[in-house]
Amino acid sequence: MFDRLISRLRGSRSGDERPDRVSVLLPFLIISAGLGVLAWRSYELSIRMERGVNTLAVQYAGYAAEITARRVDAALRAEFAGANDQWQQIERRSETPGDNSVREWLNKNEWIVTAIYVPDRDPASSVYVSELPEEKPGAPRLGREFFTSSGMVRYTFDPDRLLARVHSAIRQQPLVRNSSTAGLEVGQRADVTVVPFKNQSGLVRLPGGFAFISPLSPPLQSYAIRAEVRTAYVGSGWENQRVVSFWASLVALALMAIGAFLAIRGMNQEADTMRLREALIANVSHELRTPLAMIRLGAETLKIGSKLSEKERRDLEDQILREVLHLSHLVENVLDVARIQNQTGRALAFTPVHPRDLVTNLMTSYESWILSKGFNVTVEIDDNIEPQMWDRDSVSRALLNLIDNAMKYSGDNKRIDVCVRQNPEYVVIEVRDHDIGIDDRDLNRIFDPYYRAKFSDTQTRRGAGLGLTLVQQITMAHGGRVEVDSQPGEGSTFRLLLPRSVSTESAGVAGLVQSKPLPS
Amino acid sequence: MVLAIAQEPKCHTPAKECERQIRQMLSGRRYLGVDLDEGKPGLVIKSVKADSPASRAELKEGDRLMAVNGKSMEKATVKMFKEALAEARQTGRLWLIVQRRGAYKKVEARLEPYPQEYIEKVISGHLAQAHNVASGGGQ
Repeated sequence: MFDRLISRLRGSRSGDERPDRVSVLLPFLIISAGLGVLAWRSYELSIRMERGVNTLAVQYAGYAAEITARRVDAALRAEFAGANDQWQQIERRSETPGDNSVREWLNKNEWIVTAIYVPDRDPASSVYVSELPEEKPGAPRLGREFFTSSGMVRYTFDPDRLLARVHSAIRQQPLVRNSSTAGLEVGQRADVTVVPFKNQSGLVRLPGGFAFISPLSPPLQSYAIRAEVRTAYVGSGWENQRVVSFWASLVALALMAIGAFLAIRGMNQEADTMRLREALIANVSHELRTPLAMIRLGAETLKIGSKLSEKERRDLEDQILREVLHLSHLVENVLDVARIQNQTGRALAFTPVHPRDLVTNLMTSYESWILSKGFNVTVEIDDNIEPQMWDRDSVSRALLNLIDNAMKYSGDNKRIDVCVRQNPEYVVIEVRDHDIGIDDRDLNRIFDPYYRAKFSDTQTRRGAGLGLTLVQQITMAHGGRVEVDSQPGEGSTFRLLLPRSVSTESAGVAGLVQSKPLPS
Repeated sequence: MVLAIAQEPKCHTPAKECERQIRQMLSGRRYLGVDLDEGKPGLVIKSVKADSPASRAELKEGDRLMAVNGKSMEKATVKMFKEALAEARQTGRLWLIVQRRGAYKKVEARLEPYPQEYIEKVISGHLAQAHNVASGGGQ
């Protein structure tokens, strides 16, 4: 993977196509790879930890159950032995224990319910004592017997009461102590309870933990110790860190992606700017050089050419004049685009302008130029249009640029229609030519600065690619928009849609409102 | 009788229940019918219950029990003998080695359940003692 990446990096470096993109993305890639590895490791680790937690819980449950069961066994044995000892004492006091002796013994061991003393001497003179009325007829009773030197004692006892006596042994938490790690105490706990034993000892899996059942030894073999350890006691959920690490790494990755996206976008923007600058240098310098060369050529010819005829001289003068005009037009276009783009310099000066005056003035001043190119311009103006709050110069420039554009991209059919009309919302200035038209592919790029249609060979059709950009910017500065209809081979129609001023009275207010710089 | 009335009944359990309990505790038990004393070496028979397995096995007072079912009783306590007895409960057979007047003798005895009249006697004794029921009433 890395080899490919590096080779791509190298290839792009040598190819010099887009060296920046990979080199900018590389740190992001490395960091996100690192993050991914980190996230995976922590996830794996948390899984391992959970496994460890489970193991620990199982072990601890087993340990707690076993330990408690053995401890309870010991406590029970101690109880039995204690009862035994007490009887021995009684027997030592009186040679022939009678009813009262047995009763006394019973009272000392309140968990014993009934007892019978069978003397060896005379089994028929056995003493039977029953303590306490039966609370519950079906209560379990366990029997036990022991021998003394003079006879035998058999008794039945209540296991529940006996277990209640050894309750402290059940309550006591078994602690894990390790001598090798002094002072270390495993902070675990188990819920230890006494349950009836139903032939299933060992591990039981619970939804949130484990339980271990360990039976007691006889005579209480029908009881078992159940130790339950919840994995939550050991640490899970938020403590487990899995959720945290997972989401944290996801968020980090998302942030990385956003960063990479922003970096790429910034780079693209920069690349666009670079391309624009390159286009500017290529187009404008060419466009500037050509008229200058023509002017220089004409001037030099005039200077040395004493043998020129009057007509030739006039042609040269015309040529110089035309080229100067062209040059100034070009320079002004560049300046205007820059100005409007940067929102600096003079703001547009909105004054009441009558569209008809504007169009006719423009037409008369440029009539000779248009005619000299052999074009036939028809103008059609709606008489009902009121004066509009426009910037006279810039609107004229936009219209001129449209006409210039139409003339540039016309072949043999040298007819241009200019039409000014209005609809309820807009004043529409329409310029229509009838020749080449615009390709679909070019249609959405014609307004880009320094863009020139692909087919246009820059030798015959001169221009910097700024005309339509300027048109659009001027229109947008007036709050309007530019529409284009075009059929390749049929001709194109450019429409300037400039919003209508509300009325003559409120023209001032509208002017104020519109004179705000509009976002281009 | 006056004494029995003056004393309140000691046993709160119903008389029927007591009776049942005693029967359960005594029936199925096997006994030999000897009273022993620790007389190192061995165990000295203090008394032999009449009409008991011991008397039928012709054990006599003063006999010294030296071994039971292969276990030496020379240094045994009464308790240990009883435990040996309890172990033999399943088969009910005892092979005893007794020393009688210096001579060793092998005796075979058979453990028997308590006779019915013993149980009845215990029951009636308990009922008279703790339930104020006239003795001799039986069941």
